[in-house]
This record gives sequence, structure tokens and C-alpha cells, in this order.
Amino acid sequence: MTADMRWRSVIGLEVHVQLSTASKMFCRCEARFGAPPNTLICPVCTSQPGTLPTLNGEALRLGVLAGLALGCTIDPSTKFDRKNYFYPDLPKGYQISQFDRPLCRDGHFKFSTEEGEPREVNIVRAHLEEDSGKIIHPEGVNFSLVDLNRAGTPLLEIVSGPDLHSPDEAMAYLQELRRTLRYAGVADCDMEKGGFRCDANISIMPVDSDTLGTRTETKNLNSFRFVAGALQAEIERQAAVLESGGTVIQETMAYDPDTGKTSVLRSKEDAHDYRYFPEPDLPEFRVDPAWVAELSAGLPELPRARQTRYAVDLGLNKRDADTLVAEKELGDYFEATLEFTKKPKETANWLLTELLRLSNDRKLPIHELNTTPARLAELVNLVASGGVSIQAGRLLATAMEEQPGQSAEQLAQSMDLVQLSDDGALRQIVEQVIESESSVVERYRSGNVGLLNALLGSVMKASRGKANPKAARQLLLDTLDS
Amino acid sequence: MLSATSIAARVRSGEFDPQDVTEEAIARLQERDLEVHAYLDPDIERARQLADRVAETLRRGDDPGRLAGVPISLKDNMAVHGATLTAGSKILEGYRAPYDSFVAQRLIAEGAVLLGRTNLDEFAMGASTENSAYGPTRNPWDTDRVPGGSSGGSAAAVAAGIVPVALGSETGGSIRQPAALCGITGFKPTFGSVSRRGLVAFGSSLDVIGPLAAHAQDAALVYDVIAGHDPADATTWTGTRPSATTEKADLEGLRIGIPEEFLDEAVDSRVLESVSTAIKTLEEGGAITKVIPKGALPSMHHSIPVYYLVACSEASSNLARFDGMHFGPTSESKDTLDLLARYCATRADLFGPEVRRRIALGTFALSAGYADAWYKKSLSVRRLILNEFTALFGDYDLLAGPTSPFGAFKIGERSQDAYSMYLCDLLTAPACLAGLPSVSVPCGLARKGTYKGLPVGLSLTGPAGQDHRVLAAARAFEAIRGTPERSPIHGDDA
Amino acid sequence: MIDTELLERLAGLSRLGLSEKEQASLRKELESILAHFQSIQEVDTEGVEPLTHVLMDSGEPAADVVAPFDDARARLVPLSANHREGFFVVPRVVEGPQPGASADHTTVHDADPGDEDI
Repeated sequence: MTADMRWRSVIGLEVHVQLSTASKMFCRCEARFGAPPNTLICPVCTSQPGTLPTLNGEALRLGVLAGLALGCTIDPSTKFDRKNYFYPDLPKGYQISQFDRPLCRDGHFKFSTEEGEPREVNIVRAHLEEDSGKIIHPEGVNFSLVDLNRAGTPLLEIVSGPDLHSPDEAMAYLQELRRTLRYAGVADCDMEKGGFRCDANISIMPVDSDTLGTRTETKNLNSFRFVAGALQAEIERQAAVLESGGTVIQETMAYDPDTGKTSVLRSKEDAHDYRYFPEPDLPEFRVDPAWVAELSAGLPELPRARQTRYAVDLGLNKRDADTLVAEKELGDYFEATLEFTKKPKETANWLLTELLRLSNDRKLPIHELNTTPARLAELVNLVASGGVSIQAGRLLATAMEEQPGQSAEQLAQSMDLVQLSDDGALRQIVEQVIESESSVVERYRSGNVGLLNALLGSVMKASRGKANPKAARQLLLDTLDS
Repeated sequence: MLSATSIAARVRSGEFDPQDVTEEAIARLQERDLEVHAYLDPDIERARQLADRVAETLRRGDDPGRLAGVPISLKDNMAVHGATLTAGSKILEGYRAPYDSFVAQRLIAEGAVLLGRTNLDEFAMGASTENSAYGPTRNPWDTDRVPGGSSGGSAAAVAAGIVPVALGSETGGSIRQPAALCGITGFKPTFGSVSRRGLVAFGSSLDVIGPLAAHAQDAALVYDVIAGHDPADATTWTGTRPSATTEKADLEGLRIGIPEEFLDEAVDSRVLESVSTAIKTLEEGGAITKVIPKGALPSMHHSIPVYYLVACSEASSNLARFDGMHFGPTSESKDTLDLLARYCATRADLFGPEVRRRIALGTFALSAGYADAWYKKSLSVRRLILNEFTALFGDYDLLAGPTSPFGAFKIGERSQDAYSMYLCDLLTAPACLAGLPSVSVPCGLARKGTYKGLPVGLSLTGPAGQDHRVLAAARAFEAIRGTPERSPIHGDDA
Repeated sequence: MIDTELLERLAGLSRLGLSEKEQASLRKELESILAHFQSIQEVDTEGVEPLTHVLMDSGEPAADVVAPFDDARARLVPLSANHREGFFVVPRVVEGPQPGASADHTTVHDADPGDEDI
């Protein structure tokens, strides 16, 4: 029996998200990843004596938006507290955060497991705080290096209840959370740049028990794989401890992705006394309920709602709906195109095949292609109306991207892709084929209805592929049966 | 020593040459500071550059500002770009500020000539300037005595007649108490009326910058220049601050209450005597004075513990940035290759004993298990103190009393017993806790007793936001009483 | 009120490297001071909200506009006693259980680039 089968896990996640602001939380240095060390700093974020914090209003707005997207109650008056501890990447010797009155609390967040099962998680709280700097440990020397570019970057810490029960569920929650925050325009959640970091709390208990076990915390996991790995490692470690008759100690763990194991970082006795107290340099800030209501009304459609609408209202299949909802830009592009086509399935099809292919080939995001939603719509409509065949449409898509000055029709003409659908020219070809293939026609008329396809093939051949098969088939039927 | 108002007027009119005015101030500094040690760094080059700038402005025919050519000294805990900012501590030895404080910017914009960096108790923690890591400052009235603190250097510089005005900062009494002990005017504005940007933080919810001056009208003038909303300090209040210079200096009909709690038995009897005389002077000016029977400010009795617990809690956090990692010196001790050892050695070696004491006290008050009983409890009592003041201001325009329970005590007299030094703040701490504007005006010399011949200060406190009215009362008082007595070092040169 | 162990913890929390002698005398001083301060425990503060800010306004947040500090690296990094190549140099930061040391910031391992697959 594996550990997973005898034990039930109880998991809570704390996610630190870097908010999409231009400047830092408490000073107006640029908040940007990847600059040369200590170039995005100022007296405030390097804690020079006599400096004071000022709150970034955009960070406040994004924090409120995030809370709304997570179904939280927003505090009508928000305050900050100091969290006191010493570390070289924390120049003030304290972090300005929120302790007893977080900006957002009591939210509910729905997501689905990979198998499609619905889940709901409580969002206990989400609060604003500032990020620390970065420490680098060069090999083989007895010193470390500190870069304060990141110090002061606005963070939102989102705390879930202990409502997750497996590493897979945890992953699914994180993915939906990330997607939701991107949709709301709150954060890019770029994990490579440290924009989305997770602390995982986990305890285990026997499957038939109700008593919660002792939990451990594993900090600063900045990839989904690490989260799943760390959780799995902890489940196994805790199971081994309990099975050998020991007790799990409440500790902070570190995860080593190379070994796939967790190890103790800090035990409870060494746990910090942060001596939280209200930040005297910042007053309380009013968060006007009318403003919050405005923000709420302005929230974009969130991924799950959009997914349902695509599947149920627009009739898209699950796979297509999932793909379109994966990134907000994709769905937005889809809907913009839909304005012109009013044909959900065809639009989805062309977007997910040809447009993504073009994006891939040209190594450009879809909104930077020459093919705008209006242009894509031209193509979709042309194919749907029978103007060109589907195969021709694929060629046309590439041509349209390369020659943005030309309309779809113009290109279809110049590339000789126009499909024959009109009665005149097509009728001529059909009559010619019926005349030249009289023996086949006779056998068809005497009951071999399958031969219609052969005749259709001849029509296609005679038209050099340009006949609209549906129209041709109908015309054949009409002519043959008359 | 002419008033700043007078100097500025004459520089603007062309009668005085700003560079001459500066050279004279420099000469006085070099001569008189040998006895007094008010200055940590005379910073003379900067003064000359600023004087040159004023001269240039005048040559161009432009407005040189309300403080044109006036030499002003700043306490060495207010940032001036490129100047020292020791805060009286070894842990900032050699550090030079990379930016200007708001007050420095304002003064320079109005043509002031910043002259020198004045001495202070380390990190503004003290009431005698004996806690400075760079040696004490001496009282110009008697150089065996303290000038008070923590703005002792600024007070002594003015009392010695080196400069007409200086800036100090107050958290529990550090502007008014040294002003009282040095026989000059010291004004603590309403919390939030002057920006703290650039002030090395001690007790963030208490710290205020204010002027010390030989003439009350100069305190008003400097206040007008430095007060204002600063977007870079979120605790400054928006809205205009009425001018203190143009406010009518009239005591007629002013209701002045003297709470009996201010006449505490801890106050020296000769100090009380001088203050009683001062009250009569206020009446001469038309004020209606009344002693308020005990019971109106019952929580004031707890001011010292409340002040120290709140201020030290905030300070324990504000001083955490002094770790030798990002600026300033680091410990020279060996065995500091270890991170923890580096922190501990730097802070133990470079912080003085009073600072260490207060950090420990503040850390204790905020600690898990103790925070409710000490930190939070203090804040509740603080609210009671505020409420009691607010109730009184329903019936009175100003509250009066002695500024300091004692006159200038001898160097070394209180420095061995921390608590005895804390008692200096008995009468000043309440207005600080409530954030109220309060001025100390010189009201004569003690006639007899321990502090015979030494200055006594009268404190006038007003409701929040009434800085201009408090300063107007100070100006009126001085107008009636006449020019205050000057220290022997200052001499009789006006 | 303050025993040796507590004083040691306070010194550790505030990173004050005091000798045993210094700790002993500080302990006595704090005890003496707190004995004077004990009187606040007698004040009836039932229902009295702590006063943390004596402010007159509630706050106005600042606009999110970048205002760089000119020449930041050249002006600020050299203020430290130890720096090289634009970094602040500090004693080696070691992770692992350390009494009183903060381990809030573990090494952030490089994320897998392809890890954000939806």
C-alpha cells in the first residue's frame, strides 16, 4: 500500500503574488525583474536613515481586484503593520505587511481537478506587503551578495484554508488561481521571474480518522512541480515518521528539487517572535465601498465563467473551450472574431489551428500578428460561405498573414482558390461529367447510389479541385434525379 | 544677536551682505563653541556656499526668500545632502546623507544659510545631551551644567548667541526642555504639521521637528517656512497651516488653564515660582487664567511609562536598520565572518548604553506574551490622555505650566540613573503623546535654590492644528515681558 | 519580571551582542524601570481603543508613477562598508536551524521554464 492510500492529507497554501504595478509598494522605484544589481533602488527601499514609506495606490487597487476575483470581503479601511526580523535582504529590519486587518478576507474559490471534478477552497485572507531583496551565494567563498532591486516590490499574499487534499488538487488550485489573477489583470504570475511563489502547509491523518495531524510548512516554492514534489515528499516523510511510531514536529522545511526530499530548516522553538505592531509611518487608508463596487462591476469575465459559457452557450467541445480559456488573450481574440462571424465552432476551429500555427511559426503572440480578429473573421466567413474549400483556406491563412494589405477575397482570386459554388459554372461541369460518364450514371440510376461519390470525384477533378463539394453533390443529385 | 527676522529684512534690503553675516556667525561659532561644544561638525564650506548663493540671487534681482542670509543650525539627525548624519551615534560615524530632508529643502529655498551640525543625545534618546557618543554639550549659562536634551546642541548654539535660530526634534520633550534649560523659545508643532522626511526616526508616532530661537517671532517665522504637507511623508496632514508670523499676537480674552497636574510635587519650588510670575504676566496681557483643580488630567500621572513604552517600542523597530550591512560602519571585532555575530557585534559595539537599554525595553514591550500588557496597554492609556486634553480644550484656549520639573542640572548628576533622567519628560511627554502643539518660552531666572540664576521655561499648549495661535501667545508673552535674559556667553549684544 | 533567559532572548531578538556582565546589569536596569512603569496596569482601560496614530487625516495613496533615484547604484551602494561589483557584501548566509536567525527566505531555486503548462 502506498503512503497515499493509508493517509489523508490536509493541505493549505500561501501564495505570494507580485502585483503588476510600475513602481514599488512604498517608493517610486521601478518594479522590474532582471535589471543589473542595485540599479532600481533609492533611499527609501535601501532603508537610509530618515526615509518614510508612501503607499502605491495601484497596488491597493490591484489588491482589491484580486480579492473581488476570489470572492472576498474587502475591508473598508485598511492598515499596515510591521513584521520585525533581521535578514540581509530586508534592509529596514522589518517588513511592512498587514497583520490583524488584511485587505481581503473570507473568500471562496472554485476550481476543477484534472479529471473535471469541482472543488471549492476558502480564501482565508489576502493581504498586501512588500517583497524582500535577493541574496546570492557564490560558490566557494565565505560571503553572500545582496541585490535590493526586488526589495519593496508589491506583493499580495493569498492564504487558502486547509481545504486541499492531494498534491494534484494543490496543483489544480494553483493553476486556476494563477489563471484567475492573470484574467483579472492583477498580476502576470510569471514564475520564472519569481512573480508567483508558494508556501505549502501539510499534515496527514489516517483515512478513517477525524483528528488533524501536526502540520509542517515548506517555503518559497516557485514552480508547480516543486509544490507537488514538496507535498509528495512531505506526505511520504510524515507517513514514515508516523508509521515508525514517531510524532510529526511542527517545523519549517526546505525542499531540494534535486533530491526530491524535504529537510528541516527551522523548528518551532526557533520560530520567530515578529512583534507585529501598527505601522506608525502610514495612516489608515479608506477603501470606499462605492469604489469597490465599481471595481467589482468592471471585473472581466473570469476563466471558469468563460469556460462554461463557451461549452454551454456556444456549444464548443470541452477541449476547445479549455484551450481558449487557458489564456485571457486567446479568449478575447476569439470573442472579437466572433463579433464578425457569429459562428462559434468554425471560429474556434480556425483560431486553434491556423492562427496558433501562424503565431508559432512567426514566433509572435497572437495580438502582434498581422491577422487581426477582423481578418481572421474574413477567412472564417469565406470558408463557411463556400467561397473557398477548407484546404484552400489553410493556404489563404498564410497568405493573408504575409500580405496584410490584401483582402481575403482578393487573395483567393489571385491565388485561384475561389471555389465554384455558383450554379452557372458548376452546372456546366456537372452536366459535362454526366454526359461523359454515361455508364456510371446509368449504373447509379439503376440503384448503385454509392457511385455518386465517384461522380463527385470526377466533378472535383474536372474543376481542378475548385468545386464546392457540397454544392456539387447537391447539383449532381438534382440533375441526376430529374 | 539680531533676530532672524531682522537679519533677513536687512539682507533683502541690501543693508547686510549675506556673506558678511555668515562670516560673523562662523567666527562666533569658532570662538564660543570651544566652551560649549554645541557642534559636531561646523560644516563651514556649506554655509559659505549657501551664503554665496543668496548673494548671487540678490545680484540677479530675484527674491532671496523669507530667511535670506539667516544662519541656522540643524540637529545632526536631520538629513542634509552630503553633510554628516551621526544622530549622535558611532553607528553612523562617517555616514553622509545621500538626500535632503524636507526641512532642509524648505530652509534653503528661503535663503537660509545652514551652519553646522548640532550635538544631540544618541538617536535623540535623552534629556541632557550626555548620551551623545561624541561628548556632551555644555549649558551656556553654566558650563558645568547640561543644556537639556536631546536637542541640547541646538539649544546651546542659540543660547550662546552663535545663531539666532536652530532646528531641533521632539519625541518626549527634546525641543522644549532644552529650550527651557537654556533660556530660549522652543516650539514643538502639532504632529504631522512638519514633514519627518529626513529625520532619523526615534518614536515615529511622536517625533516632530521644530524651531529653537532667541526671539519668539523667529520661532514663528521658521515654523511658517518648514511647516506644510509633504506627499513623501504620509503622516503630514493636508490643508494649509495658518501663518504664525502674521497671526495677531494678542492675549486679550484668551482662556488659559493651568491644570494642577502640571504643578506636580516633583516640580522644583523655584521653578514653580517663576512660572507663577509668568502666569501673572499673561494676565497683564489680558488673558483669563485659572488653575484647574486636580482630576481633569488624571492619566497624565502615567505619561512617563506610556511615553517610554510607546517610544521605545517604535524605536526598537526603527533602529533595526542599523546593522552594518547596507550603510554606515560595521564592527571591527574579529569573528564577524558569521552573520549573526556580525549583527550582534556591530550593534553592541556601536550603540551606546542608553540606546541599548531602550531597544531592549521596546523589544520587551512588543514581545509575544508581553505586548498586550505593555505596548497595547500603553496605547490605551495614551488615548485616555488625548481624550482628557480634548475635553479641556472645550473650555480653554491654552494650557499652561512649567516646561521642566527642574532647571539645568549638573553634568553627571542624573546620568547614572536612567529613570531619574526619564523624569525630565514628566511635563512635556503628555503633549507629545497627544500630538499637540506646545511652546516653551523663557520666563525668567530662578531666584533662589538649586537652580538659582538659571533659566525657567513656561509651557503653553494648544489644541491640534492651532500652532499659529500657540506661537502668537508666545510672541505676545515676550512682547509684554521684554527680551529674555541672555546667557553670559551670549552676552548683551541684543 | 525579567529573568536571565528572557533578557537573553530579548538580546537575541534585537541582535545586541552583550557580554554576560552587560546582560546582567541590563536585566537589573530593566527590572528597575519596569517596576516604576508597573503603575499603568492599574489604569482602567476597559473598552478604550489603543491610540496608534494621532493623525488628522486618513491617508491618500500615491500615484503609481516611476520616479527613479538618479545614479542610484553609484550613490547608495558605496555607503556600505562592504560592497563589490554593485552588490552589498554580507557574511555568508547559511540556511539551516539557527537560534534566533531568520530563515524566512530560503534559496529560491530556479523554476523549470516549461513548468507553467496549463
